[in-house]
Amino acid sequence: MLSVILAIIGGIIAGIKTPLISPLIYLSKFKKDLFLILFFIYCIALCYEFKVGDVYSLDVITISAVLIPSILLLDSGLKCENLRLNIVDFTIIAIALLGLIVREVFLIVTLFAVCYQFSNDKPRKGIFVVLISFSLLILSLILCKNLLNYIGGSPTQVVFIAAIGILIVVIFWKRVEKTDMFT
Amino acid sequence: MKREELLILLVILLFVQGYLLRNVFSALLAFFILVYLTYLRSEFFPRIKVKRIIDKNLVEGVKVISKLKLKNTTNKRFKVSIVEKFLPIGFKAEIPDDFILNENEEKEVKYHIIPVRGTYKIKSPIVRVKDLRELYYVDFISDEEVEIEVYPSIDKIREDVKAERIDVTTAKALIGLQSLDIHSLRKYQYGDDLKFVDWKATARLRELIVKDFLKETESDVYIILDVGREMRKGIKNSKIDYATTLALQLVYALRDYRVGIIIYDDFGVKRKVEPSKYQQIEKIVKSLRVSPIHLDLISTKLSEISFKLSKESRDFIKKVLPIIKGRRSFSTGLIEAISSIPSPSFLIFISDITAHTSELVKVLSELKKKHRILLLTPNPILFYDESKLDREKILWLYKRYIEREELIKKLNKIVPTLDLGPSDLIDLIKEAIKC
Repeated sequence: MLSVILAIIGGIIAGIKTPLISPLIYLSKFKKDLFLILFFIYCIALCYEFKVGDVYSLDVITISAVLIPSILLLDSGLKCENLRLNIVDFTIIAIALLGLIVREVFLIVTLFAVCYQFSNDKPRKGIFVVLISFSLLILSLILCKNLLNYIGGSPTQVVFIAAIGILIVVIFWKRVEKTDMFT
Repeated sequence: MKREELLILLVILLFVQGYLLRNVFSALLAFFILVYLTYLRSEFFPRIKVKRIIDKNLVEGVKVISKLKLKNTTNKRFKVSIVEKFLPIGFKAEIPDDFILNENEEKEVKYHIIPVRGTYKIKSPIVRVKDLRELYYVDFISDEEVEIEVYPSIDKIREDVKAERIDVTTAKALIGLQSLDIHSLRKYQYGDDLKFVDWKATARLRELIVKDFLKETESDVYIILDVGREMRKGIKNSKIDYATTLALQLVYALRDYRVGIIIYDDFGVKRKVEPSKYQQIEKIVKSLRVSPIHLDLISTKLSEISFKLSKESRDFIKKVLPIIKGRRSFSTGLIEAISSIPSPSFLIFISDITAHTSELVKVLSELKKKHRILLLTPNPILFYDESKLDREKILWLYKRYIEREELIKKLNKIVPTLDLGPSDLIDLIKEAIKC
């Protein structure tokens, strides 16, 4: 539930309407496969509405306000948690509302929400995977700034980000059995 | 399609969309989803210890509790589901719903299994451990096997045999235990036949009085049950399941008499329970743990292969085969079974007459000089699976039917023979004997 409210606030900060349908997607989580299909459509719609032309001139807070709640929405939809909010959730929402006035607060509170949501997993190796992945992306984007930062260079930047993504998959991918849909 | 594959497809589409629409946000969202999936994969490493606890002596058709001890040896929570894939054919399991196994938790899951008779080695079920997002799973299969013996249900047999006892007429026809000479008069007891009420004495004493007849020598009753390969072939409902039920119904119906059972197969006597009046049903139930052979599991095509051997070859194989099969001598299981019957007795044979016909005819002809005999034979044609019938099979079955009719006529000249189908149990046999 927290992720839905954060997605809506993030949508308001970024000035986009698609996050307004996130409650509908969240409520479909009781049918997990339906949730995944709706989330699929939500992401495509979100990317049609919200456009960023250049990775080097982007507004980190605005992008994070849309990106992080989207991942939180995916995670909370896949988890079997109940709809009730606890005191920590209410506190996060209250501070997130402040983000409408001071945007930096929203970035901090969403990062805290991520830590809070994933802390239940008691992650170990996963923390390193995430830290290494983002560090690798940021470092490579900084190192290759001269190559990628030119007018109309966004397709090249997309390819570059995709390449980093593939590299991460190659490094950390582990073979596991996958659950079927509609079973 | 797998759940994760849909998300991977989304990632690819977002990268393509980002490239075509010159939108870096699409690529960043795709990257975030990809990192999220990598995170989930790296965090999923379940380690579970599984052990099944189940009673070793079970009763057919009676629900038994199967306990499954699970121990999570990690500090992660998992969703667990149980898949009973290795239960023998005919067993039913009431699988519990999915449940959460907390970090380092030891849990005992109880659910019911409904067994069918026989001796089986059962493996532990598949314990499917899923992550909380239900994207991935690992199947845990324990190699541990538990040997269980499933006995026929006495209650079910009592229920099937609706008549409390085999009535006097049938008993007389069957065993000849009662003469027409009156021995004494006594008070009516529940179950006594009303036609033996002495109305004069009843009127005089103003209570129901019945006549007790003099008894002839009470001979032992032996049920001689064939559990050879022919009987154990599982066509639809296997003949052996039917034969064991029938044997138990007979034991129950004849519980006032000294009933014993001899169980033999193609190689010799497998089990023998000496005639007695006390706790016979329980003893015999324990002796009747025979599993059917499910031919469906091997191949039904085998029967279509035919070998034509010359008479000399057949004679040679006939002599050599018993030794190859591990028999102690040339005598078959049937001969070994009847050789152990002492005094003149009443013998009820339950056997497939097509298996060792000539031997059976010889044995019956010889035995009828000394014993009273009834032959009950499950008709394989009536046990045939209707779903597997086609034109050729019907013609083949018809031929078998005609041959069998001839054989039954021939056997009826020697001893009373009843040809039985899967629904013919003791009531029908009683009626047939009366006729």
